[in-house]
Amino acid sequence: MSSLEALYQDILLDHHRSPRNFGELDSPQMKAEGFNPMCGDRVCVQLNLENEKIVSRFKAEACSICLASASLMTEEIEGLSCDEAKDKINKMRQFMQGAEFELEGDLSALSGVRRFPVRIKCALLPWTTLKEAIDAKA
Amino acid sequence: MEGFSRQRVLFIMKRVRAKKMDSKKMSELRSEFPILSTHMNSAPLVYLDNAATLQKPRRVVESLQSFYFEKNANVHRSVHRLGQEATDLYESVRQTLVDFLGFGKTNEVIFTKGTTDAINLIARGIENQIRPGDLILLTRMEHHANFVPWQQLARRRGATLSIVELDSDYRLDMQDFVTKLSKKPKVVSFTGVSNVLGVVNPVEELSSLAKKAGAWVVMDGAQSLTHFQELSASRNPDFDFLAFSAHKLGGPTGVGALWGRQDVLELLEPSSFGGDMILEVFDSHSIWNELPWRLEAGTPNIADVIAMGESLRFLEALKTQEIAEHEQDLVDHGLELLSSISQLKIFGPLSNHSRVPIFSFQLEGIHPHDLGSFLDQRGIAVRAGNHCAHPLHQRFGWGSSTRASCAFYNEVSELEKLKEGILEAQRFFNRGQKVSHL
Repeated sequence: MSSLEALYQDILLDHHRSPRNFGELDSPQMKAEGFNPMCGDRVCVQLNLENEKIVSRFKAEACSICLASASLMTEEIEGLSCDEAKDKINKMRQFMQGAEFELEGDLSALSGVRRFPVRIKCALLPWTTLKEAIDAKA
Repeated sequence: MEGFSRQRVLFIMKRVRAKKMDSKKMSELRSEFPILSTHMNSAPLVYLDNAATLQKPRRVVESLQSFYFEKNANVHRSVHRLGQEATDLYESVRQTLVDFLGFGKTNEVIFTKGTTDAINLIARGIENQIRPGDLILLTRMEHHANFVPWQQLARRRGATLSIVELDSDYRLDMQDFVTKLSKKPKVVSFTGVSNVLGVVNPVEELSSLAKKAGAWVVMDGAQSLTHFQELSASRNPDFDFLAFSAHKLGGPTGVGALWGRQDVLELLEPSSFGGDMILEVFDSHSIWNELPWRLEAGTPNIADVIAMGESLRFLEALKTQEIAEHEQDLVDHGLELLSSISQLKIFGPLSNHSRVPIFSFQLEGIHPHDLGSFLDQRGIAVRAGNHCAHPLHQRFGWGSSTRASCAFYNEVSELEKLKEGILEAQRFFNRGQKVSHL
């Protein structure tokens, strides 16, 4: 697989074309907006807790990496507690910073990003925005 | 995104007057820039990010080395001969710049860290002369460097920013300019060439109208001095200030200059204090040095200023009809190649006059960042983002764009590679997708 194909795996392009959980909640308990001034990527994350379990929506004007990462993220944190979601955020951050473990499941579609250092920020923007949303509530 | 198909219909090209540049001369010119024959991601480098920074000719880099190896000393303060030689070399660059510009005097040349620093120097320097309610007139196509310093000055002093809008060809709306000028702005500041749109502004006309309206006139020359078609136009400028950066001219980063008419430079209050800018220092007050040193506090960027002089001499030798025509050739071919791509919208004039080969565009369905990474894998370096021009992007609702910006050393064949790369990107990103709308 070429590095471009590794970066843009089919599953990633699929999430880009049909993002999951795209949209807004009626009255979100938590929300945050992330912006990358260098490339203009913008992500909004909204969260509700139902019985301590996360329900999330996002909106983004962003590149495919950022958008797909947000979409994958919302699937990943569905039904988790805030603390569990924070563990996922840390794990993603560590992975992007070069930690030696593999991403599992659909998230592994983001593995190729590590070979493109300038794109790591794109992949992480939704996750840092999610963290802001959770932290703002605490 | 509407207008994608309509744009090609509107594309009209004036018959090309440009000639193809002699290929032997071109390869000689390119060989002055060692980086141009390197490879990137296993492909020959196609460097199309010249509006961000120009590559460096050999002699500029050699100048840095020979200064540090043979002439290094501090300037303006040494009794030893080495110090005198360093001072002479440093000071002589003021004359080099005056020669290059074709106007001005050596004491009107202030060395700065670059365009941004120069514009901040002006904005800080005239702060006390700006009163609440005063007007500062800018244009929609300004780089943040010629926007934020004025915006912040206006906020500090209770002044108002006014912005000249663009017409349907993305050029300055001259009627809007005249209307806004009639409100008597205190300062009028505009770029010579847009770093996003490739538009060459009618600098002479803007300056002379603004001058007649009684404004201080500032020209952001960051993108102007490497483009050759318009150079002869500014021999006797009406503007009061011209700011530019060396690195966009093939010089080092972190250095540039401000040229100002002496009488208006005298009005600038220093905003940076310390050595070199003073004549005498007492416990309670200080007396400033004369121009230009008054506005150059501290040990200057000696080696880089000298290397900037080399880049100016290099460019001076390139100011030929042949190079001007070659640039026009790049404009013509760039417009033709890009507008032949479906789903591509150019952000900038489709007419080829008063335009430099800077091409910003959006591809439907492919984000500039994704396109940038894709092209990078083929050795093609372009910029993706909003190019330090948020007010422009916001006005037109562009999230971001891809920018390919050419310099005199680029070849038409490189623009052809760009087109090929874009077409491949479309195939790659649209794989497995129904493309019924094509």
